[in-house]
Amino acid sequence: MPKNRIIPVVLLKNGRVVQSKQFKRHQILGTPTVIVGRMSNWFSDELIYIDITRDNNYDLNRDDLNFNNSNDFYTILNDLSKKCFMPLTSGGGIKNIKDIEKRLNSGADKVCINSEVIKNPKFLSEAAKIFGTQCIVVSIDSKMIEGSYYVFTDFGKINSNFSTNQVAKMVESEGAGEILINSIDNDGMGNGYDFNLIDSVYSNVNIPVIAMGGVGNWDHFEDCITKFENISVAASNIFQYTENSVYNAHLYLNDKNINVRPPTISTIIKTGEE
Amino acid sequence: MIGVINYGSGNFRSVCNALDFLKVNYIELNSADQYEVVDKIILPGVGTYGDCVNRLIQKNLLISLKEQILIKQKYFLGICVGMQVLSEFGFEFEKYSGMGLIKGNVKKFEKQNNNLIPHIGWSNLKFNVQSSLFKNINEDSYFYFVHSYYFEVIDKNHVSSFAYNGIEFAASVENQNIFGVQFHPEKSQKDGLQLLKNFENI
Repeated sequence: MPKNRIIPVVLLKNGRVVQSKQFKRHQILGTPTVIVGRMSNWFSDELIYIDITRDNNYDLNRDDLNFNNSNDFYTILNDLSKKCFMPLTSGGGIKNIKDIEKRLNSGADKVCINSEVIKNPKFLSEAAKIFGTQCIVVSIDSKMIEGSYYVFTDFGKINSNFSTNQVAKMVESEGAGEILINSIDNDGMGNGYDFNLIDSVYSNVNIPVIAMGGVGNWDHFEDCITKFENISVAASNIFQYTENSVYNAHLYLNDKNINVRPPTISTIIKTGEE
Repeated sequence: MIGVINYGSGNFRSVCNALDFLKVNYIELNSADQYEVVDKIILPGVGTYGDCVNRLIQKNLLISLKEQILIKQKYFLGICVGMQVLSEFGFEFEKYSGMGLIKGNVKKFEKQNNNLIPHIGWSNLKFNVQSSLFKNINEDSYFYFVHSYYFEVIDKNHVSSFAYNGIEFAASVENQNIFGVQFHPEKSQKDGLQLLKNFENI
């Protein structure tokens, strides 16, 4: 059986890597090539790379206005894929088949689709037919409203009024290869995953599920894997704070007999990125 | 010189990136006449069995590939679906004929022993017969897999390693000059790069 994957998610906004809090506040952490290059040297099982740049101008505080992001995004992806010998998933703003093609041609192995799946479920089945289900990760951003989980689109701003378990089942049948379930409430809070939310997806589908949102320490990974045997665990902010973070997470969990890929120093490749 | 077959498979570029990183000499193989200038052939693969076979046929690459492997005895490495098409038949969506170079068929994983389908992630290998492809790679090393179908090989002597996803399945196959790996060496970090290097050095 494959190991439980530990997956860093790198959020990119206007050409900068950012950390996120409840999908609202974004603090700049640095330049992507350096940060993602480091991640690959740090024993990541996979990497998810999401562009959360807003097209409209309502979110201009603190970002570098002179920085052109759209072209840069593909250049960065392309540069990364030349040095990063692990699976790369690219997400953010994917609206049609051409967008997927462009990401794959720039070096992504999989794509992560979010809002468009809700707006147009046929897009998902069409994409799965062309590229294979293994290529399509659907990310579901979810928030609790009056005791029930609902799926939100457009950077967590618009309530689709679909329940989370309903969407999970729908995307599985339309051809998603994996589901990334993200909690808007727990995003950036560091208080651990929302297990009820994860369960509403995990217990309703048979495809791999990746948990996201709220990791504040390595024990949160342990709790999640102990509760959900086949889960993959993702996080963003926590991997940015310390040196060798992904490697250390593997080490910590492996020592606790959690079913992760045992880290060996020799597995790390020097790419000359740092 | 290695020829990497480009039939439009999603991981063609990734395989080339890995070979570039290793400074291995290779050419992009687009047409059958190019077979003559290479002594080793890599067939990358992502996607479905039928798609791979059909595209190779469309580009007029399939029959001559078999000839290169069987008659000219060139070394061949198939990756993922590129390995699966070594089989006699594949059953993804409908029945397709493969190259029939290693006896057995490709079939879908069944839901059993709490496995996940597709099998996505890092699994360790159990070596079966000794292979020069795994030189300087330890048993129990981890490789990256992503697939829903597996190659049920009839003669277990043609399986160089097994992995597990609810059942034990062929992670790699070998028959003289013919090699195949179900996992993605181009995405398996250091051990994956070592495997590609080993193929160059065979």
